[in-house]
Amino acid sequence: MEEKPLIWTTKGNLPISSLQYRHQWTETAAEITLVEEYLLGEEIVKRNVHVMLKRGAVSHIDAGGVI
Amino acid sequence: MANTQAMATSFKVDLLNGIHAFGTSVVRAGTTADSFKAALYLVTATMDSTATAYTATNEVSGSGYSAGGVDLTGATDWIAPTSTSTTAFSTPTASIVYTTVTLATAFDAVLIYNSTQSNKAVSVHTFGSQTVTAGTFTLTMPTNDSTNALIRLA
Repeated sequence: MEEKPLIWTTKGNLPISSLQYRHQWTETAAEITLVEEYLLGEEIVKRNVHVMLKRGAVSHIDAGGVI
Repeated sequence: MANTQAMATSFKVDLLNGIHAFGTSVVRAGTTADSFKAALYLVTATMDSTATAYTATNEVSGSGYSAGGVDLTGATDWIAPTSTSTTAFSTPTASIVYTTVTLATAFDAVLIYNSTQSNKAVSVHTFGSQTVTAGTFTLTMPTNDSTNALIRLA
C-alpha cells in the first residue's frame, strides 16, 4: 500500500498532494519574511510564517561629566 | 597621553551578566544564567520601552499558544555576552518557534522577558503584521555582533 505524506491543517491531517502550495518572500530594512500557505480549494488551511530579524534593539549608555 | 571620559565597555558586558547592583537587587540561588521567555502581542497592543514585565493584556491567543509564550531554548538561552569596540551585546542561541498554532488576529511584536526574575521585561521587537493558521511561527535571530545582535548596549 502506497503511503501518502500528510500535513497538519485546520481540517486535520490531509495529503499534501491534495493541497495547493504557494509562498512569498518579502524583505524590508528590518526583516526577511517567508510566508507559506496551503490551500484546499480557495480556503487557506495552513499558514506558516518565518521572520528573520536583521537587527535587534540598542540602548546607549553614556558616562556623564563632572561639573 | 590624555584621559578620556567613558563608560567602561566591560561594565556594559557586566550589566548583561548581572554583576553590578546600584540599588536593591535580588538574592540569587546560584551563578547560573536566568531563564527567559518570548510572548507575542497583537497589533492593537502598545508594547514599547515602557514595558516593565510580561502582561497578558493584548497578548495573542489561539489554538496551540499558551499564555506567556515560549521558553527561549538552547544549551543556554543567550549567547554569552561579549563586546566589540564599545558595544556589549547578546542574542538568543536559537530561533524562537511557536509550533502548530493558530493565531487568527494579527500580531506584530514579541516581548522578551526574564521568567526567573518575576517576568521582568527585557526588550520588545516588532515585525510585519502576521497571522498563522495551523502552522508554525518562527523568529530567526539576527547575527550576534555589535551591529545586529538582538540586544546591544552601545
